[in-house]
Amino acid sequence: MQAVSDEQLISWVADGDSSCLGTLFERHHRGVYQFCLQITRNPALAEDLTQEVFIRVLRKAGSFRGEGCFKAWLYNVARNLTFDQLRKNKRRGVNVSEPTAETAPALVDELNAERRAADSQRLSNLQTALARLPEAAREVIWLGRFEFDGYDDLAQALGCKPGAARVRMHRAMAQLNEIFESMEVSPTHV
Amino acid sequence: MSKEQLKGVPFEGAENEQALWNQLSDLPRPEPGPELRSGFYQSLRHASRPTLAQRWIARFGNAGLWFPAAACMVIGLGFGLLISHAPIGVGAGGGTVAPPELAQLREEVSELNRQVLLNQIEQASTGGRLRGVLAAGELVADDPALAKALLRRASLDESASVRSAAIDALGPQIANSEVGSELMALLEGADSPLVQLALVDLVLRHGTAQQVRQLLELARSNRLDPDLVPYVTAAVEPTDA
Repeated sequence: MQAVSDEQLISWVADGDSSCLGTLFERHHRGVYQFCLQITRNPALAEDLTQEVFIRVLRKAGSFRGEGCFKAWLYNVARNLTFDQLRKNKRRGVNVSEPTAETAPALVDELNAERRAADSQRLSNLQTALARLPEAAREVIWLGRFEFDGYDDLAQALGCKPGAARVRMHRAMAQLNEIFESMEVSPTHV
Repeated sequence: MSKEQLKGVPFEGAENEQALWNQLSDLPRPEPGPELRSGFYQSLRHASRPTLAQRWIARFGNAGLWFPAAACMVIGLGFGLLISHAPIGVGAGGGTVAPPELAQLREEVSELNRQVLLNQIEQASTGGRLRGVLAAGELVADDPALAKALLRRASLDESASVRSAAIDALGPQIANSEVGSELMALLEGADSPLVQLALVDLVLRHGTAQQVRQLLELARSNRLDPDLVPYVTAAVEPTDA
């Protein structure tokens, strides 16, 4: 049972009690990290971004007006920050969104730890297919699958209307399915 | 990693897409490194460093000098006001400061006291917070900001003594719907018997009939500390029958 809601905590942060941000951090930092990692494919950058997301929440707490849920607002901050960072990196010619020789082992290690169950090849293909999707498709799938239960909140996080979020989800899943099936036919892609 | 049951948004696509959607829940969800937490708290400390004014109040508050400091400030204000209005005051009111100015002074004193109290409730030391909470109990009835600060201490303070003192201080505020629902939510979730006892006493003393019924229901379904169950049933059931 959560005695104090996220919305109440962020209103206290806005009132100047920054210690309440610690509670919000403890509740949400894993999810935000995993989201940033999905988009950037770079664990070190994902950690930096997660930290920055919560510091930005501290600075922008007053702008949370209580319309919609805090979590959707938080993920909206996270995606704006993450995509800003990716744009900056692209301008500088740094590509962090594909697994590099340095980052891939970390992701593979994480996968290996999880792959004791059967069907690891399919899971690995699915992970690779997801990584090959454009960032915009990856974010809608990840947030829709792991972070939100309804299209209203998902849409708020993505900064669009619920109908648009639903359309984006269907497009992204169709793309994912296409890539995944092509890998199932020719497993040498993995 | 635990295979927690994920709901996700409702997705209905073609059969193979639906199967893929279900399989997504098996994907690994990597944990961040421990440096993330330490780095965040370090940034948080840096980002929420107090301003000069806050440090000034904190220094006087911590040293127990807030009252003399506040008094000096008010006397200074009053003296300044007296000098600047002396000719008018003497002429019109026989050497006394005009009543509206006195009222303004009183307002300034009470506002200053309130600010000092609000600051004290948020202090770093447990003793300081406890003193602030106890003092705030007398003023909370007319002050929503104080009630909010007390509710925050009642919910989140790391010290069970401060939490239970804040609950006591809120007293009749439990009848206020927002405060009441927050306190009733705390009742079930409280991990300290001391805090739960304070909440039980508060409901028994100041709770509405509905809150008392809710308390009795918690006791009957053993969702309170076992030592408190007979206490609650004995207190409630004679009037409940």
